Amino acid sequence: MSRLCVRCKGNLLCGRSKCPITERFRFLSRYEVRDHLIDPTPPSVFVGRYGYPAVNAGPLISITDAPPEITDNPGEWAGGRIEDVLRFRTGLVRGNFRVNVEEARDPGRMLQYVQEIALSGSPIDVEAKFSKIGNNSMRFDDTLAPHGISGTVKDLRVVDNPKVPHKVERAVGDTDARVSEITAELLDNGVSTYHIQRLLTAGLLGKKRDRRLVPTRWAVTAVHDTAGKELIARIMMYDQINEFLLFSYEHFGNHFEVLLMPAPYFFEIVEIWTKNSLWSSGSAVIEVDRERRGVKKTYSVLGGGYYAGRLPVLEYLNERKKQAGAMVVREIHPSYWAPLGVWVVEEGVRNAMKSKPEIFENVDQAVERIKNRIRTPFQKWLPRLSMLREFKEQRSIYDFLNG
Amino acid sequence: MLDALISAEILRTGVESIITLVPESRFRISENGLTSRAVDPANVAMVSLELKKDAFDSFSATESEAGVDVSKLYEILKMAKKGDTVELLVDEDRGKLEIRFSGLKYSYNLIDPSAIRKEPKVPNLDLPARITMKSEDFKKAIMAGEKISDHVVLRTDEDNFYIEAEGDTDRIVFSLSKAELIDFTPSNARSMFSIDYLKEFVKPISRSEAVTIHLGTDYPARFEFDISGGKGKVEYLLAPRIESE
Repeated sequence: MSRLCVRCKGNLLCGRSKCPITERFRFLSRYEVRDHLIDPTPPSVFVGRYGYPAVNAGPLISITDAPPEITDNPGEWAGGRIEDVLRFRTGLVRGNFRVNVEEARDPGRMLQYVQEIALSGSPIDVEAKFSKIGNNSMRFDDTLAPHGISGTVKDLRVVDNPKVPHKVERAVGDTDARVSEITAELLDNGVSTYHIQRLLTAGLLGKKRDRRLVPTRWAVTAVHDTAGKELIARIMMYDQINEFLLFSYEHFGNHFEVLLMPAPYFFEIVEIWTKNSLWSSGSAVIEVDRERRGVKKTYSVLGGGYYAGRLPVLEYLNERKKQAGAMVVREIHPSYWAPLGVWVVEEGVRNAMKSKPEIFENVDQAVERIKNRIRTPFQKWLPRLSMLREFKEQRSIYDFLNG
Repeated sequence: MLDALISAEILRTGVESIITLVPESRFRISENGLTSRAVDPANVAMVSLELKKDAFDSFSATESEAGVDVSKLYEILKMAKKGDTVELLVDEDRGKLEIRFSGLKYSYNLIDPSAIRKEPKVPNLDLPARITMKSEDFKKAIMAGEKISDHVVLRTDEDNFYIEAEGDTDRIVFSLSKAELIDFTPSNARSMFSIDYLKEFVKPISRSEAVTIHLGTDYPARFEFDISGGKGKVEYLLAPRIESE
């Protein structure tokens, strides 16, 4: 358990057949599932990635008395407890059927129902008949929220009318717009990233001939990344902020510091897994990634968390029509004992950006404050922040104009 | 107003030198030629391009200023082949830029020059060291430095010129002695620069045989190179990084 684990997060890069870290939580699920359900979906749909392009797809169905509208909505989970999230998730049954991703353009009856669920803005009742119910275990993932029991459905029906927000209906009806434009527009209109991810995974966004089911894991990061790119293009046109703004938030054992600096756009994030935290062991493991001007060309070493953490910062700048250089420090403590998905980063940073910022006149004061709130000694992580260093060191040609 | 014929390669190198920093710039046109100057959005680097009348095969111009989307112009010029001659027409009255080569005619709108950031004054800098070296040597050093760091130190002493990069655990030094340089005015100078900018400069610089660097200590550096044997000239000014502790 080491640096490799921090990069891999359960994806078996070590060559083992099971991840010793995620295996720790298999005991958690304890529900009995009947083979015929008439229950609400939060609404939620899931598309697997194994076997692509022939994948498993279907709804998540809520079988507990937890209010269905919160069980697949991380926007509601911020600031809560890990146990609650696990409780919501173990109470969701995933009903699968095999389908080719291309069928999204011309869906059969069951896939049509899945698309209706994806469109809906609030819970709706579904009826599912299972031919097989899988084992009673919890599955964890670095990107997705944990999943509970799954089974194979032989019949699926929506027994309710989906309530489709007008903005969503229009976006789905637009068969000429590119996914990047449409995701940014949906965000502008106040549709949550989670609903947009649901539409993308169900093959309901983008140019008609390109529409297909997108494995949910990919759809999550695709929405963060494409919407982010669109917002960056806008932000580069805005005036720079003129002070240093420091935002802070902590939940689920994840501490976030976000520093905005008066500078042309850049984004740098450092992830500090403190010693004895989920993916680290005897010593802290630190990973950094960054981008400046232009577009990030290679997939981040930090995985989907990079794009999940970048988006709320861009949303903040875009709403205020301002440009800034941004630095995020994410410190993960041992109290983050189960991997919950990249929404922890997205909602953590989003809530930080909602907090009242501390204002500083210079970068050293702001960094001093961050150092005080991060447990890991600064000598270990601060020197790794090369954009921050460049910001401090880089002079302007105007500094020499009158010299 | 400008109506001229020019080798596609010369014009392309000139335009390339600008788009390394900005997508739009102001063309100043006079009887003597065409010049353009721009500063990147971060105010870290400045480019000055000069294409003298001699750089053109035919040249007819009246004093004027035009705002040009240079990144668009560059994309079109990339389609020209070696040896192609380009007809370039800049008509502010009609608000059009037009280029023609090998049967292709492309025209698009000029930008109101007042919508483009005003060009700065060129600072008067006292830069004691002057190094003229082969462009390929410069390119090699920057490409090597980029592999391990995001910044390099340019340094001279009485006998040598050094380009040094330092990563977390590794270090690269590229040095050339007086004899290996094309020309050298020695001095003790040392400044640090962002590789991000230098690697952009390398692209147009490597279209020329040699590059001349003017260097001071914790001071901006000037990089000069010729286009087409001195008929054109590009100057980059790059502000340094200064270590805080």
